[in-house]
Amino acid sequence: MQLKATEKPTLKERVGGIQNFGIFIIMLVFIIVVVALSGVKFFTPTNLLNLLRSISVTGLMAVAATLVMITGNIDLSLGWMIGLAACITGVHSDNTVVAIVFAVLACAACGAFNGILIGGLKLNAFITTLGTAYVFKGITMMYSDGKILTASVQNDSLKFIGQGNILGVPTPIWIFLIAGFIFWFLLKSTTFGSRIYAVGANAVSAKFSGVSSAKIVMAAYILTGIVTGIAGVVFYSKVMSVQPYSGAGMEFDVLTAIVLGGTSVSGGKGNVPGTIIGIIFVGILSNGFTLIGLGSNAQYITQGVILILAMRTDVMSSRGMRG
Amino acid sequence: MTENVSGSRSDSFFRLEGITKTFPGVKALSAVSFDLRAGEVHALCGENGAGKSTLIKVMTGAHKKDSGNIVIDNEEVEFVNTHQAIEMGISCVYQELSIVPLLDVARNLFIGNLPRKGRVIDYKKLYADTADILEKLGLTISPHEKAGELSVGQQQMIEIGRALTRKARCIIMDEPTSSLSERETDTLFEIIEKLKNQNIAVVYISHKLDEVMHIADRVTVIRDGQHIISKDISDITEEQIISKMIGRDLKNMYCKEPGEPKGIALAVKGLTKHGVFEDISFEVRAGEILGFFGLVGAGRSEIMRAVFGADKYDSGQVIINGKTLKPGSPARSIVSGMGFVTEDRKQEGLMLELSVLANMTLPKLKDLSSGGVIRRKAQREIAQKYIDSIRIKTPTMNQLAVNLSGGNQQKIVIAKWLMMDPKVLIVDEPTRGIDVGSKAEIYALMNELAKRGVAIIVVSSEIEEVMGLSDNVITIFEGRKTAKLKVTSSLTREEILAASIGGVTEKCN
Amino acid sequence: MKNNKALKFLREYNVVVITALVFLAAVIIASPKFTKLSNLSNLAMSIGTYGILAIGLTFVFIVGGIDLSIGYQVAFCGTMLVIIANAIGLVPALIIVLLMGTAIGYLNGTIVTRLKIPPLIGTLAVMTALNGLVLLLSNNSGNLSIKDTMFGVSLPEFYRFQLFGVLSPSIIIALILFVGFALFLKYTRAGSDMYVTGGNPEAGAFSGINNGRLTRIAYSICGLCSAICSFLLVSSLGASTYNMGDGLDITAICAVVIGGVKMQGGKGNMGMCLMGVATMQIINNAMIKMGLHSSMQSLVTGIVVILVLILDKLTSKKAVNE
Repeated sequence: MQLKATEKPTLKERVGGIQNFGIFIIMLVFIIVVVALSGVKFFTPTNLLNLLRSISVTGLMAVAATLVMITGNIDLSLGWMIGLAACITGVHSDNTVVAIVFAVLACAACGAFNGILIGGLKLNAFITTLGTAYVFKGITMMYSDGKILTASVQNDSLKFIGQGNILGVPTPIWIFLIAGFIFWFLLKSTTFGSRIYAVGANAVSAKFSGVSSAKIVMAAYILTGIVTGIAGVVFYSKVMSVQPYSGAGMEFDVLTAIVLGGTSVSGGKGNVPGTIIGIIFVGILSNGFTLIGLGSNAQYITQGVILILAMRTDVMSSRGMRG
Repeated sequence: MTENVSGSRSDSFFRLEGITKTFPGVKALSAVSFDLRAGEVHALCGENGAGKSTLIKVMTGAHKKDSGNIVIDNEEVEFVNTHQAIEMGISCVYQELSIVPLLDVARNLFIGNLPRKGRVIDYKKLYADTADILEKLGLTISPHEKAGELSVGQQQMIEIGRALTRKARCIIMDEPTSSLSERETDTLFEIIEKLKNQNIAVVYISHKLDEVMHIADRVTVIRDGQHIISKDISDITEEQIISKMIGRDLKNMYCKEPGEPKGIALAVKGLTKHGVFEDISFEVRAGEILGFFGLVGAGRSEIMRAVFGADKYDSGQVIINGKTLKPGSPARSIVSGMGFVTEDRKQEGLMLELSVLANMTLPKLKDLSSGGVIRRKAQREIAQKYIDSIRIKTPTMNQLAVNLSGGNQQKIVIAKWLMMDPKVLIVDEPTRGIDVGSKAEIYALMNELAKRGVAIIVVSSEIEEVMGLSDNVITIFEGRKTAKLKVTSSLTREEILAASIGGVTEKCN
Repeated sequence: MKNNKALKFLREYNVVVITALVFLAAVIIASPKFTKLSNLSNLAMSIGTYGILAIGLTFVFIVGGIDLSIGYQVAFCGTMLVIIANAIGLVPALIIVLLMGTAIGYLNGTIVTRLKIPPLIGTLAVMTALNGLVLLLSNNSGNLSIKDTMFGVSLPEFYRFQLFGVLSPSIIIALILFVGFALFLKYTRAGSDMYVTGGNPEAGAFSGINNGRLTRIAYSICGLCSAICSFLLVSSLGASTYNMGDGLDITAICAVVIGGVKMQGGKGNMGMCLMGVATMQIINNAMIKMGLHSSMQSLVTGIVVILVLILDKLTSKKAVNE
C-alpha cells in the first residue's frame, strides 16, 4: 500500500498561499464590496499609486515578521521601530546613504535586542515586545524631541525612494516585491527557512536535530529589524516628513495581515504569499474606506469583524497564544 | 473467529456487547464485546491501531458507539458524555495525565468535586478527606504539595485517588507503568490489590505482557478492531497472547548475534553534573550495543543528553572517535557522528505538524543543499530510500507526522539518524508505547546497525529489552554508575536489578 | 531546612518584596515631592482606579486567556457614559454602562469559547472594532464633558472626596472589589474551578467542569471592571476623551504580570494583582514627580517590564519533566 512518494508537489504546495479557502473568499467579498462602494474614485491613477505605496510600507514589515510568527513568536514593537527609522531618516534627510545605513543599523539593533531577550533568554515574546515597544518609543521620542521632522534640504535621491517610479511602478512597490521574493525564497527553499518552520513546530525537537532555536529566532528578529529600517526610510520619503508616533499601531495591521494570510499564531505554519494577500487586503480596506468617506472608525470596526469571521472559518484549534 | 471461553456470565456488572464504531474511512471497532466483573483485573491487549483506545473511549463516554449495547448492572445505558460515565462509576487514568500542575494535591484529587458547606467550599473537609485517601493509597505526600512537583508515579496515584473520590466501580488504566520505576510499579500493583479487595474492577491496558501475566485475572486480545479472544490468565501463555495480538508467531524478538568488537567509538570520562550525575565513565566500541539500565529518575537520560550536548555539564570529557567534544552543542555532536533518538518522540523527537519529509531530513539539510538552497529532488529521493528500506507506513512523504502510528513515528526518528550515517547512536527508550510487531522491526534495525559497525547505546527501563539487545549493561543508580556487566547466558535479571538499586559490582570487562 | 523555607517564602512572596523595594526607591529618589501627603493620596487613588481594571484582567489570565481590548472597553464605556448621562442622568447611565461593559466582556468570552477563536486574535478584533466605535461616537476628536452631578457635587469633586482623609471612592470601590473577588476565587466552586480551566482544561473537562462557561464569566467580569474603571476615570476628568483608553491594556498587562499572575493560566490571585498595580503606579507616579520627560518615562516603563520578565524567568522552577 506504499504509494510512490516522489510525486511532484502541487502548484499550491510549490508557491504557498492562503491555507484556508474560506478566509480567502471572505476577503474577496469584502474587497469587492468596498471597491464597488468607492466607485470610480478607487481606480484613478493617483489613488492606486497611493494605495500601492502605503501597502509597501506595511508589506515590508509584514513579510519579514512572517518569519517571526512562524517561529511561534510575535513582534509588537514594530510600530516604534519604524518610527525610529523614519525619524533617523528625517534627521539625516540631507544625506541619503547615511540616512539609510543609520536607520537600518538602528532597527537591526532593535531587532537584535528583541532577539536576545526572546531567542536567547526565552522570554515571552508577546509581553517582551510590548516592553521593548516602550523602550523604542522612549528612544524615538528623545531622538526626535517629540517634534515633526520635515526635510529642509532638497534631496532627490531620497525623494526618489518614496515618490519615484521605475518603469511606471512606484519605487516602494519594487522594494516591497523584491523583499517579498527574497523572504518567499528563504522560507520555501533554503535550509534557514526549513529551520524556521522546525523551530516553530517544536523547538525542542529542532534542538535535538542540531538546530539552535536561539540563533534562528534571533535571526528572524534581526531580519525583521533590517527590513523595518528600510520601511522607515520609505515611510519618511513618501512625503519627506514624519511625526514620531505615526508608526504606532502599524504592528496590528501587520499582525492582522499575517494572520489573515494563514500563518498560525502558535507557529509552524504560514507563508509569504499568504501574508502578501493579507496586506493587500488590509491596504485596500483602508484605502476604500477613506474614499467612501467612512474614516478610520469604520475601518477598524470592519477589520475587527473580518478577523473574527476569517478565524471562524479556519479550522484552528483553540490553543491560541498562551504564555 | 473469536474465542470466548469464559463467556459473558451474568455476574459481570459492566458489559459492552457488539460494539461497532466507524470513523470516516476506518472501521475502528467491529462487533466487539467486553465484560467486566467486580473486583477483577481484566487486561486488554492489542497492537497500536488495533482499536484499544477507541474501545476505551466508548467505555468512558468520550465516543458514541455506532451500534451495540453498553450494559451496567443489567440495564442498558447510553453515555452522553464522559462526565456521565464517571457518575456511573467508570473512571479512567490515561497515559497523558490530567493533573493541574499549579494546584495542590488536594485540589487535584477533588477537581470539579470540591466538598462544600452550602455554597462555600469547605477547605477543612477537603484536606481531611485528601489525607484519608492519601493514607489509603499509602502515599507519604502532603495534601498541600503542588502536583507539578510530584514524580510521575505519584501523579498517577493522584489520578487513581481521583477515581476513588468519584466512587469508581471500574478504573481503566492505560499503559500505567510506562513512566514508572520498578518500585513505583510494585506500589501500583499493591494498590490494584487494594482496589480488588474493595470490589473495584480494573481494566489494565499494557504492552508489558510480563506485568499482564502477573497482575491480571483475565485477558482480552483485540486485533484490527475485532475481538479475538478472552481467557482467564491461568489458561493462556504470554507467547499465545503475542501470537493472537499480531496474528502470527514471533520467534525470538531480539535475535542478537554476537559480533566482533572493534575500536572504541565513544569514550566518556568523569562526566559530572552536580546534583544530577557524578563521575560517569564508560566506553563503547564500534559494533557494540551498550545497555544503560536503572530506575526511572536515576539520571540515565540526563547523562545521555549531556553526552549529546543538549544539556551542559560541569566537568568531564566526551571523546568521539578520538576527538574531544566541546559541551553544549547538539549540532557539533551531530557533525562528529552522533545521533540521539530521544525518550519522548512526540515532545522531543518530532515536529508533529510538519511532514514526514521535513522531519526525516532536518539534520541532513546541510548536506542536501548548496549555498543554503535545498536540492529538493535529492531530498525527496533520500527520504524515499529510507521510507522503503525500513518500511515506514505512510501514504506519502508529505503526510504530517502526527497522523502516523507510534511505531511509524519512531521509525521516522530512527530514519532521520540513519541517513546521517552516525558512528554512535544513542537510543533512549526505543520501544516505549510501541506495539509488538514494530518492536521486533526496531530491534532488527538496531542489530543491523551494530553489524555495520555503529556503536549503539540503549537506555531502557525494560530489563528484558536491555538483556535481549545489549552486549554489555551499565547500571545507574542515583546518578552514579554502579556496575558494568557483560551480558552472557549466565547473567540473571536479579543481578542487574540488584546493581541498579545500589549494589556495586564489577563483573568481567 | 530553614534555608528551604526562606527560599520558598521568597519565591511565593517576591512580588511583595519588589513592591516594597520599589516604594523605598521612590521615596529615596523622588522625595519630597513623592512623599507629600497629597501625592500619596493621589497615588492611592490611581492604584484604586487602575487596580480595578487589573482585577478584570487577572480573571482572564487565570482562565488562560488574554484581553487586548480592555483599553478600548474603557474608552467606549466612558464615552457612552457621558453621552447617556448627559441625556438621562448619571445614575441610569451608570447602570446601563455597567451592563454594557459586562456585555462586551461576554462577547469576548463567546468569541473565544463558542467561536473557538484564539483570544489574542479575537480580542484584537474586538479592540479594533471598539476603536472605531469610539472615534465615531466622539466625532473623531472629542472630549465630551459630563454635566451631571453625584450626590450633589460635580464628578471631579466626588472623585477626590476623602472619607476620613484617606479613603476616596476609587479606593473604597477597589477595596470592595478586591475583597469580594478574592472571596469568590477562594470559596466558590466557580472561582476554584477557574484555576483548573486555566491550568489544565482537559483535566477539567474530564471532571465535568464547564470550561466555556467559566471562561465567559471571567471575560464578563473583565468587561464589568473596565466599565467601573471608566466611570472612575471619567469622574476624575469630568469628561471622556477619545484616547482615555490609550496604553491602559499594556499597563494592566504589565501590572498583572509583575504581580506574578501567569499568562498561561492557572495561577494568580487578588493579592498578586494588587501588588503588581501598586508597583506600576508607584513607578509611574515617582517618574512624574521626578520631572522625567515623557519619553524617559516610556523608556523606564519598558525597561521595568523587561527586568520583571527576566526576574520571573530566573525565579521560575523548572517543571517536573519525567
